[in-house]
Formats: sequence, C-alpha cells, structure tokens
Amino acid sequence: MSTPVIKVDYPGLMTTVQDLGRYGFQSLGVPASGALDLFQSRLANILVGNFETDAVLEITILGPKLVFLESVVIALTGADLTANLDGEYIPRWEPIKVEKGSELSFGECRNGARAYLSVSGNGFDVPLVMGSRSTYLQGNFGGYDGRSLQKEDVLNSVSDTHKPETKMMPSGFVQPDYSEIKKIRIVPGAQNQKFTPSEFQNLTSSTYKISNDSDRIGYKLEGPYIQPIDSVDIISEGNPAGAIQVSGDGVITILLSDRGTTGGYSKIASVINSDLNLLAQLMPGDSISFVLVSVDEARNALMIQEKLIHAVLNGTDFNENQNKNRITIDGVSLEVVDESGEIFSYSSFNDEVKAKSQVSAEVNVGEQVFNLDAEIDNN
Amino acid sequence: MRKMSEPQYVLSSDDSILVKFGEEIDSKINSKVLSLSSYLTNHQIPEIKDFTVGYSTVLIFYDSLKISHHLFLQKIKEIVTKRLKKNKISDQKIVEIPVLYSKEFGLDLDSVANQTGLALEEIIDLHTSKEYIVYTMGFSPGFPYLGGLDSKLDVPRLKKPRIKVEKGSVGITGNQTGIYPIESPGGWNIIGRTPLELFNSTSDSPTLLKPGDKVKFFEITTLDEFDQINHLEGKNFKK
Repeated sequence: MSTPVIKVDYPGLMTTVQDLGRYGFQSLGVPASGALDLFQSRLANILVGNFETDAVLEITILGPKLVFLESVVIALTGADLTANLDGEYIPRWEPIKVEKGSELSFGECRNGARAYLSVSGNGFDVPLVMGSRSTYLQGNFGGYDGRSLQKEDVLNSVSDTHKPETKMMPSGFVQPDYSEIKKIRIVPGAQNQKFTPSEFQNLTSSTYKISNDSDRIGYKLEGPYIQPIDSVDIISEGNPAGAIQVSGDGVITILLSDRGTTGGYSKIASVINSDLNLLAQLMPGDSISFVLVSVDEARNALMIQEKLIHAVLNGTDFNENQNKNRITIDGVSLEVVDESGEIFSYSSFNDEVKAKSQVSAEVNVGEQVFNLDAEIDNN
Repeated sequence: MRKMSEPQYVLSSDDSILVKFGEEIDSKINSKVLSLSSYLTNHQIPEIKDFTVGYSTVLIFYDSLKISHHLFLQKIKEIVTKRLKKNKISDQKIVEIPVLYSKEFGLDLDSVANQTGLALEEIIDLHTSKEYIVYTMGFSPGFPYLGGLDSKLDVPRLKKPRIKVEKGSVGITGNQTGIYPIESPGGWNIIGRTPLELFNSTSDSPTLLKPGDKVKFFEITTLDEFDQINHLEGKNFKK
C-alpha cells in the first residue's frame, strides 16, 4: 500500500524522481529520460530489495534535506555528497535502516556529481506516465508533477517499506573514485564520414572541458572546434544517448537522457553506454578525452558492469577480470563455458598452462570441432 | 524507372543501428521509412528497446546485453530486405486540423506576406489546399514534421529563434509545416494556431498524430470558434 515516506525540508540544487527511462514513445517525439547513471540507480534499488526498474531520487551536486515519515531501509549509491543521517556521516553502497522522524541531509560534493537514493517498498510512488516514473523537466511531465522536488513535497513509497530483502555489495567491489575519470570511450557516430580522418583524430587527441551549459539534455564541451568536410547539417534523424553532436559553429555536445529524439546536426561519434554512467558523475569544469573502441569492446565494458549487478543479486564474489576470457568468431564475442555450463575463466587453468602464453584449444560448436591456437592474456 | 538505392545500415552508437533509405526529404523514400516503422510497431521483437523515425531513416535501439551488434545487424537486414516487400503502412489516418490564421496568433503572417509577395488570403489558401504526410516526429513530444508545403510558401527559419512559442502554434519553413504541441522555443514562421491538443502525456495514445498520418488544415475565423473547440478538447482529455 502506498505510504508517505519522505517530506522535503529543503530541495537542494536539483533532485528529480527517475527510473530506467521511458521507452516505446521515441517515434512520437517523447524523450527517453531516466537516470543519467543507470548503473548506480539499479544498484541502489537492488541493495534495498527493490526491482531495478523502481523509481529513485537522482540528487545532483548539492543534496536536499529530507525528513522520514516512516521507518524504511535506504541505500545511497554514486556520488559522495556528504550524506548525514541525524548528523552522522553514512556510507554509500549499503542498505541502511532509518527510523521514522530521522533527517537525511547533504553537505559538500566530495566525489562525483550525482547520488541515487532508493527506499524500500519498491521505490517512490509517482504516477506512471507512458510506462515510466522518470521526470522530463522540459515537457513538465513524469516524476513528481513533472518538476524537480520543492520544499514541503511529500513522497510515497509504492508498497510496504518494512522487512525488505536487502543485499550487500560483494567482496571484490571497490568504491569508484570518480575524480579518476579522464578517458571516455566512444564508437564512431552515424556521420563520422562527414569528417576527415585527421579531424576525427583531432577529437580523440584533444582534451575537452565540460562547460557550465550542461544539463540532463546534454553536456556542451569546451575545447578544439571540430570542422566537417562540407556541412554539419543533415535532414532530421534519430539521436542515440551519448551521441557527440557537432553544431554549425564547430562546438561539440554529448547528448544525454533528456535529449530531443531527433536532430539535424551531424554526430561524429557516440559515447558507449557503460561510460555514460561515468559521464553522469562528472560536472562542469571537469576535463575528459575520448578513446575510440570497437562495438565489441563497448559490449564487453557493459558486461563487466553487468557482472557486478549479478554478483550483488546472487551474493557471489565479484572479479572484474573474469570477463577477459572470450572467443571472437567473425567479430562475434562468445562466452566460454565448460561442459557443466560454468563460465570458464583464466583461474580454471592449472599452473602449468598459466605459465604458457599460447595454448592449443578445441572448441565444440554444435557438431563441429574447431582446433585453435589461443593466446593467454595474463592480465 | 530509376532503381532506388539499397538501404544502408550505419552504426549509430553501441546500442543502435541507423537504417538509411536515402538522404533527401522525399515521399517515396519516406514511405519505406514508414513501412519499417509500422512493421516495428506491429511486431514485438524482444531485443528491440525503441526506435525513432527520421525523414529517410529509422534509428533502432536494441538491448546490447541480449544480442551482439553483428547478429542484430543481420536480423534488421533480414527484416528490411525480406519482410517489407509490400511497403505496407498500417493504420494511416487522415486528421483535419482547424487553424485560426489571425494576426494575434500568426505572429509572422505579415513577414511571410512580405517575403513571398502573397496576400493573407493566398497564404491561407495555399496552406489549407494540400494534404500533408507526417514524415517524422521529434523536436518536442508530438511535434509533426509535415512535408509537401507549396513552394510559394518557402520561407527560411527566423534569424533569431523565439524563446517561447505558444502551444498549438502552426509554423512553416522551407517546404515544411508543423505544429508546436507544447510551449517551447522555436524558429519556424508562425502563421496561426490550432485549438486541438496534439499531446497529452496522461493518455494511452499520447499524441494526436503519428508518423505516416495525413493532415489537412482548415480555416476557422473567430476566436469564439477557437475557444469552443479548445473547451471540448479539454473535456475529452479529462475522461
């Protein structure tokens, strides 16, 4: 049953209700919206026993002051915005029991830019708008009355908040230090052919600063201008999240969750999905550079993030390097499993094999047997 | 007859593929776009998360954890080359849209008249005489890009876009016309306003129009008529 859980005493800089986004309506011009750091939004929910798709609060740079109207379990993930519960600093990435009447406040932004707050009871109960609870600020719909939170707002939880099936982060999980994010990985964009190879290299060899003109629609970057061979104008086509758009003046903008569904500027490249979660933790003034990767590498990066999610859900250990073993056939990455169906990893080798750099491998795909020379990646 | 070029499949991001049927604003090219878009609307393909429709393109988003780029590309190619032969566009409807072409609402009527050398009545006649197709939607929720505007009405975008264009405003630029469903910034020449609701976030079908629909404008002449229709619209959405 829907229960009032939080009253806003002070709204902070910008706090919005978000879930994983609004899908199925982009062909009608309705933007996807959703948490900018989808990964941390999912983790926050899982830790308090919610569905990954439940609604959380996205707290930007300067946090709100919230009063709890009911005993709940909360989790905070993402940025370190100096969260205090009744005056005491509380850790991130763990479920925390909060008594009715307690106050959660935030201080200095120490690391990252966006924190995610989940509450037990399947998250925040705002109306589903086109299948999603995400706030779309420009359209004034979704989330809490289509806007960011204000003083005196009361947020309900969807269901009963007591006795949730909480989870813990696995051993092997290291809290991210967002100040270390310097490189953002990209794949070529739909109009990369509109730029010379040397201009593309200009993009990947330069450093760009995130400008003050940055929000949930996109980050405008300061740095070397990018010039097309002829014109950047195209007839309107769809914009993916992460698209690096070049406007007529040569300025580049990375398009994010609240971007317009279509646009008329060329897209030279696109930030890969795993790194969009990192980008969400940067703020105006931070510097980045771009690294070109293949679409398979992009998928692999996403799978590593997924491994952590699986480890939290299943209560197993997390080892980032498990994913390093893969077989690629004609550009397709295959997961390697042994006969019992367990994922086969480097640690499955005995020491004698580990000492070698190359081994012979036999791969059975259906009825066919392939004999391969396999390189061992000792990293 | 000139053979149309084969569609191109372009990597657009690590979870989307752009299917490109051409590079121009052209009704034949757009009909292929609409045929793919109605196929995607009518078939639930588990790996597909969403898609957007452009003038000559469809951008398809997929779940890159479920399927690799390589396999998804094969799947889309198969759909485009084998399943779209009939070029069928489903549920295409004709929507008649009332417009009050007054100087109060049509902020750029005088400027359009000056640029084109047409009288006010001629502008209205030309705008209401044609049947338009919704080529694509975007810019803001429910904004239709209507192709096929009479070339006599071809005017460039405003040099300085307006920060605020009223909801319902009807604009023209190039050989296109469109309607602003919600209050937003905008750079098109505004020639009138419709009392119809083009977007309602709380409805199951949130937009009045969808890509492929046909639109015909008709003139209403008094503010009373405008308010009456507007009032009825409000009631419809309160249901």
